[in-house]
Amino acid sequence: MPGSGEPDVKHVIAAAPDKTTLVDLELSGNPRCLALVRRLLEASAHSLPLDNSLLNDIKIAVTEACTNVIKHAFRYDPNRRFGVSLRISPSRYQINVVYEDAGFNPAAIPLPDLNNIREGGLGVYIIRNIMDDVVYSTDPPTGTVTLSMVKLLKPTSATGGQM
Amino acid sequence: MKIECQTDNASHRKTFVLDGELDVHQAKTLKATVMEALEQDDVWTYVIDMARVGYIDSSGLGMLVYLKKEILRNQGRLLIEKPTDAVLNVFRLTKLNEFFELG
Repeated sequence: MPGSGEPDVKHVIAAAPDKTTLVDLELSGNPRCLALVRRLLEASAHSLPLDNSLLNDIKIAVTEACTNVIKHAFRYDPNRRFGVSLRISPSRYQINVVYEDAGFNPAAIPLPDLNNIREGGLGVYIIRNIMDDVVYSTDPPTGTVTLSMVKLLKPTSATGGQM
Repeated sequence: MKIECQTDNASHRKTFVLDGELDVHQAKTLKATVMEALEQDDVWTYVIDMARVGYIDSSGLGMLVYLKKEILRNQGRLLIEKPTDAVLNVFRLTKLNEFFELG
Protein backbone atom coordinates (compact mmCIF):
# COMPACT_ATOMS: atom_id res chain seq x y z
CA MET A 1 0.00 0.00 0.00
CA PRO A 2 1.41 3.41 -0.92
CA GLY A 3 2.79 5.23 2.05
CA SER A 4 2.42 2.25 4.40
CA GLY A 5 6.08 1.34 4.24
CA GLU A 6 5.25 -2.08 2.71
CA PRO A 7 7.49 -3.03 -0.22
CA ASP A 8 5.70 -3.31 -3.55
CA VAL A 9 6.25 -7.05 -3.98
CA LYS A 10 4.21 -7.25 -7.16
CA HIS A 11 6.44 -4.69 -8.80
CA VAL A 12 9.59 -6.46 -7.64
CA ILE A 13 8.41 -9.79 -9.05
CA ALA A 14 7.24 -8.25 -12.34
CA ALA A 15 10.59 -6.52 -12.82
CA ALA A 16 12.70 -9.58 -12.03
CA PRO A 17 14.16 -11.51 -14.96
CA ASP A 18 12.97 -15.13 -15.16
CA LYS A 19 16.10 -16.64 -13.65
CA THR A 20 16.41 -14.26 -10.72
CA THR A 21 16.41 -15.90 -7.33
CA LEU A 22 14.18 -13.83 -5.10
CA VAL A 23 14.26 -15.98 -2.00
CA ASP A 24 17.07 -18.16 -0.73
CA LEU A 25 16.40 -20.21 2.38
CA GLU A 26 18.53 -22.46 4.51
CA LEU A 27 16.44 -25.03 6.38
CA SER A 28 17.23 -27.61 9.02
CA GLY A 29 16.29 -31.27 9.15
CA ASN A 30 13.47 -30.51 11.59
CA PRO A 31 10.07 -31.11 9.92
CA ARG A 32 8.56 -28.22 11.90
CA CYS A 33 10.06 -25.88 9.29
CA LEU A 34 7.71 -27.19 6.58
CA ALA A 35 4.67 -25.20 7.74
CA LEU A 36 6.82 -22.06 7.69
CA VAL A 37 7.83 -22.74 4.07
CA ARG A 38 4.14 -23.08 3.12
CA ARG A 39 3.37 -19.70 4.73
CA LEU A 40 6.15 -18.16 2.62
CA LEU A 41 4.74 -19.73 -0.56
CA GLU A 42 1.27 -18.38 0.32
CA ALA A 43 2.70 -14.91 0.82
CA SER A 44 4.40 -15.06 -2.60
CA ALA A 45 1.07 -15.90 -4.27
CA HIS A 46 -0.54 -12.57 -3.37
CA SER A 47 1.36 -10.86 -6.16
CA LEU A 48 1.05 -13.53 -8.86
CA PRO A 49 -1.56 -14.96 -11.22
CA LEU A 50 -1.81 -17.93 -8.89
CA ASP A 51 -5.23 -19.30 -7.98
CA ASN A 52 -5.75 -21.45 -4.91
CA SER A 53 -5.48 -24.83 -6.64
CA LEU A 54 -2.25 -23.84 -8.37
CA LEU A 55 -0.82 -22.51 -5.12
CA ASN A 56 -1.82 -25.74 -3.41
CA ASP A 57 0.01 -27.74 -6.11
CA ILE A 58 3.18 -25.74 -5.46
CA LYS A 59 2.82 -26.11 -1.69
CA ILE A 60 2.45 -29.89 -2.01
CA ALA A 61 5.39 -30.26 -4.40
CA VAL A 62 7.74 -28.17 -2.25
CA THR A 63 6.65 -29.90 0.96
CA GLU A 64 7.08 -33.34 -0.65
CA ALA A 65 10.56 -32.42 -1.84
CA CYS A 66 11.60 -31.04 1.57
CA THR A 67 10.03 -33.99 3.39
CA ASN A 68 12.05 -36.40 1.26
CA VAL A 69 15.26 -34.56 2.16
CA ILE A 70 14.44 -34.48 5.90
CA LYS A 71 13.17 -38.07 6.03
CA HIS A 72 15.36 -40.02 3.62
CA ALA A 73 18.59 -38.03 3.17
CA PHE A 74 18.88 -36.49 6.65
CA ARG A 75 16.92 -39.07 8.69
CA TYR A 76 15.44 -36.21 10.77
CA ASP A 77 18.89 -34.93 11.85
CA PRO A 78 18.12 -31.32 12.93
CA ASN A 79 21.80 -30.40 12.64
CA ARG A 80 21.92 -30.89 8.88
CA ARG A 81 21.04 -28.08 6.48
CA PHE A 82 19.58 -27.84 2.99
CA GLY A 83 18.69 -25.02 0.65
CA VAL A 84 15.43 -23.95 -0.97
CA SER A 85 15.44 -21.13 -3.50
CA LEU A 86 12.51 -19.53 -5.25
CA ARG A 87 12.78 -17.95 -8.69
CA ILE A 88 9.51 -16.24 -9.36
CA SER A 89 8.29 -14.33 -12.40
CA PRO A 90 4.77 -13.62 -13.66
CA SER A 91 5.12 -16.54 -16.11
CA ARG A 92 6.90 -19.22 -14.10
CA TYR A 93 7.45 -20.35 -10.54
CA GLN A 94 10.67 -22.28 -10.05
CA ILE A 95 11.80 -23.93 -6.85
CA ASN A 96 15.23 -25.49 -6.39
CA VAL A 97 15.92 -27.80 -3.47
CA VAL A 98 19.64 -28.41 -2.89
CA TYR A 99 21.02 -30.92 -0.42
CA GLU A 100 23.76 -33.46 0.15
CA ASP A 101 23.00 -37.13 -0.32
CA ALA A 102 25.97 -39.03 -1.71
CA GLY A 103 24.08 -42.27 -2.30
CA PHE A 104 21.09 -40.78 -4.10
CA ASN A 105 20.19 -42.11 -7.53
CA PRO A 106 17.06 -40.50 -9.03
CA ALA A 107 16.72 -43.34 -11.55
CA ALA A 108 16.21 -45.75 -8.64
CA ILE A 109 13.05 -44.04 -7.32
CA PRO A 110 10.33 -46.68 -7.72
CA LEU A 111 6.93 -45.90 -9.20
CA PRO A 112 4.10 -46.51 -6.73
CA ASP A 113 1.52 -49.20 -7.47
CA LEU A 114 -1.71 -47.21 -7.17
CA ASN A 115 -3.78 -50.40 -7.29
CA ASN A 116 -2.04 -51.79 -4.23
CA ILE A 117 -1.50 -48.73 -2.13
CA ARG A 118 1.14 -48.67 0.59
CA GLU A 119 1.91 -46.16 3.32
CA GLY A 120 4.87 -44.60 1.55
CA GLY A 121 6.42 -43.94 -1.84
CA LEU A 122 3.97 -41.36 -3.16
CA GLY A 123 6.05 -38.19 -2.74
CA VAL A 124 8.03 -38.08 -5.99
CA TYR A 125 5.03 -39.43 -7.93
CA ILE A 126 2.97 -36.48 -6.67
CA ILE A 127 5.72 -33.98 -7.51
CA ARG A 128 6.06 -35.31 -11.06
CA ASN A 129 2.31 -35.19 -11.59
CA ILE A 130 1.63 -31.68 -10.38
CA MET A 131 4.65 -29.72 -11.61
CA ASP A 132 5.26 -28.87 -15.28
CA ASP A 133 8.98 -29.65 -15.21
CA VAL A 134 10.90 -31.74 -12.66
CA VAL A 135 14.63 -32.37 -12.99
CA TYR A 136 16.94 -34.11 -10.55
CA SER A 137 20.64 -33.44 -11.07
CA THR A 138 23.49 -34.87 -9.05
CA ASP A 139 27.12 -33.91 -8.64
CA PRO A 140 28.85 -37.18 -7.62
CA PRO A 141 32.16 -35.61 -6.49
CA THR A 142 30.42 -33.48 -3.85
CA GLY A 143 27.31 -35.62 -3.31
CA THR A 144 25.13 -32.56 -4.00
CA VAL A 145 21.62 -33.19 -5.32
CA THR A 146 19.56 -30.43 -6.93
CA LEU A 147 15.86 -30.93 -7.50
CA SER A 148 14.49 -28.26 -9.82
CA MET A 149 10.71 -27.92 -10.15
CA VAL A 150 8.85 -25.48 -12.39
CA LYS A 151 5.18 -24.52 -12.52
CA LEU A 152 4.22 -22.44 -15.54
CA LEU A 153 1.82 -19.69 -14.57
CA LYS A 154 0.79 -18.65 -18.08
CA PRO A 155 -0.94 -19.79 -20.19
CA THR A 156 -1.39 -23.13 -18.41
CA SER A 157 -2.51 -21.69 -15.07
CA ALA A 158 -6.14 -22.51 -15.97
CA THR A 159 -5.33 -26.22 -15.68
CA GLY A 160 -3.79 -26.00 -12.23
CA GLY A 161 -5.17 -28.52 -9.78
CA GLN A 162 -7.10 -30.44 -12.44
CA MET A 163 -6.21 -34.00 -11.61
CA MET B 1 -3.02 -29.22 14.15
CA LYS B 2 -5.89 -29.54 16.59
CA ILE B 3 -7.74 -32.84 16.95
CA GLU B 4 -11.11 -32.91 18.69
CA CYS B 5 -12.57 -36.30 19.56
CA GLN B 6 -16.33 -36.83 19.73
CA THR B 7 -17.58 -40.16 21.07
CA ASP B 8 -21.01 -41.65 20.44
CA ASN B 9 -21.16 -44.67 22.76
CA ALA B 10 -24.63 -45.73 21.62
CA SER B 11 -23.56 -46.27 18.01
CA HIS B 12 -19.92 -47.23 18.74
CA ARG B 13 -18.74 -44.31 16.66
CA LYS B 14 -15.79 -42.03 17.33
CA THR B 15 -15.21 -38.89 15.28
CA PHE B 16 -11.87 -37.11 15.08
CA VAL B 17 -12.33 -33.55 13.90
CA LEU B 18 -9.05 -32.29 12.44
CA ASP B 19 -8.19 -28.62 12.16
CA GLY B 20 -4.96 -27.69 10.39
CA GLU B 21 -2.48 -29.17 7.95
CA LEU B 22 -1.73 -32.88 7.71
CA ASP B 23 1.98 -33.14 6.89
CA VAL B 24 4.88 -35.30 8.10
CA HIS B 25 5.02 -33.41 11.40
CA GLN B 26 1.31 -33.56 12.18
CA ALA B 27 0.75 -37.09 10.86
CA LYS B 28 2.45 -38.45 13.99
CA THR B 29 -0.01 -36.60 16.24
CA LEU B 30 -2.93 -38.11 14.33
CA LYS B 31 -1.42 -41.59 14.56
CA ALA B 32 -0.92 -41.33 18.33
CA THR B 33 -4.49 -40.09 18.88
CA VAL B 34 -6.23 -42.70 16.72
CA MET B 35 -4.05 -45.59 17.84
CA GLU B 36 -4.73 -44.76 21.48
CA ALA B 37 -8.47 -44.99 20.81
CA LEU B 38 -8.01 -48.17 18.82
CA GLU B 39 -6.20 -49.86 21.71
CA GLN B 40 -9.00 -49.00 24.16
CA ASP B 41 -12.04 -49.75 22.04
CA ASP B 42 -13.54 -52.95 20.69
CA VAL B 43 -15.19 -52.84 17.27
CA TRP B 44 -15.96 -49.24 16.39
CA THR B 45 -16.52 -46.98 13.43
CA TYR B 46 -13.91 -44.24 13.26
CA VAL B 47 -14.66 -41.05 11.39
CA ILE B 48 -12.00 -38.55 10.38
CA ASP B 49 -13.66 -35.20 9.72
CA MET B 50 -11.47 -33.24 7.29
CA ALA B 51 -13.69 -30.20 6.70
CA ARG B 52 -11.02 -27.96 8.23
CA VAL B 53 -7.96 -29.57 6.64
CA GLY B 54 -6.81 -27.34 3.80
CA TYR B 55 -3.61 -29.22 3.12
CA ILE B 56 -2.44 -32.83 3.02
CA ASP B 57 0.74 -34.35 1.58
CA SER B 58 2.02 -37.87 1.01
CA SER B 59 2.98 -38.30 4.69
CA GLY B 60 -0.59 -37.45 5.71
CA LEU B 61 -1.94 -39.78 3.02
CA GLY B 62 0.41 -42.54 4.15
CA MET B 63 -0.80 -42.13 7.72
CA LEU B 64 -4.47 -42.39 6.66
CA VAL B 65 -3.63 -45.56 4.69
CA TYR B 66 -1.85 -46.99 7.74
CA LEU B 67 -4.76 -46.14 10.06
CA LYS B 68 -7.31 -47.68 7.71
CA LYS B 69 -5.31 -50.92 7.60
CA GLU B 70 -4.98 -50.97 11.40
CA ILE B 71 -8.70 -50.27 11.90
CA LEU B 72 -9.66 -53.00 9.42
CA ARG B 73 -7.33 -55.40 11.23
CA ASN B 74 -9.40 -54.70 14.35
CA GLN B 75 -12.62 -55.37 12.38
CA GLY B 76 -13.47 -51.66 12.56
CA ARG B 77 -14.43 -49.20 9.86
CA LEU B 78 -12.86 -45.90 8.79
CA LEU B 79 -14.82 -43.09 7.14
CA ILE B 80 -13.23 -39.91 5.79
CA GLU B 81 -15.82 -37.17 6.03
CA LYS B 82 -16.11 -33.78 4.34
CA PRO B 83 -12.71 -33.65 2.59
CA THR B 84 -11.96 -30.19 1.19
CA ASP B 85 -11.28 -29.67 -2.53
CA ALA B 86 -7.53 -29.48 -1.84
CA VAL B 87 -7.59 -32.84 -0.04
CA LEU B 88 -9.86 -34.42 -2.69
CA ASN B 89 -7.45 -33.34 -5.43
CA VAL B 90 -4.61 -35.27 -3.79
CA PHE B 91 -6.88 -38.28 -3.14
CA ARG B 92 -7.81 -38.37 -6.84
CA LEU B 93 -4.22 -37.95 -8.00
CA THR B 94 -3.15 -40.98 -5.97
CA LYS B 95 -6.40 -42.94 -6.56
CA LEU B 96 -7.00 -42.94 -2.81
CA ASN B 97 -10.54 -41.70 -3.44
CA GLU B 98 -11.16 -45.34 -4.45
CA PHE B 99 -9.37 -46.76 -1.42
CA PHE B 100 -11.11 -44.71 1.28
CA GLU B 101 -14.77 -44.65 2.17
CA LEU B 102 -15.60 -40.97 1.66
CA GLY B 103 -18.59 -39.17 3.08
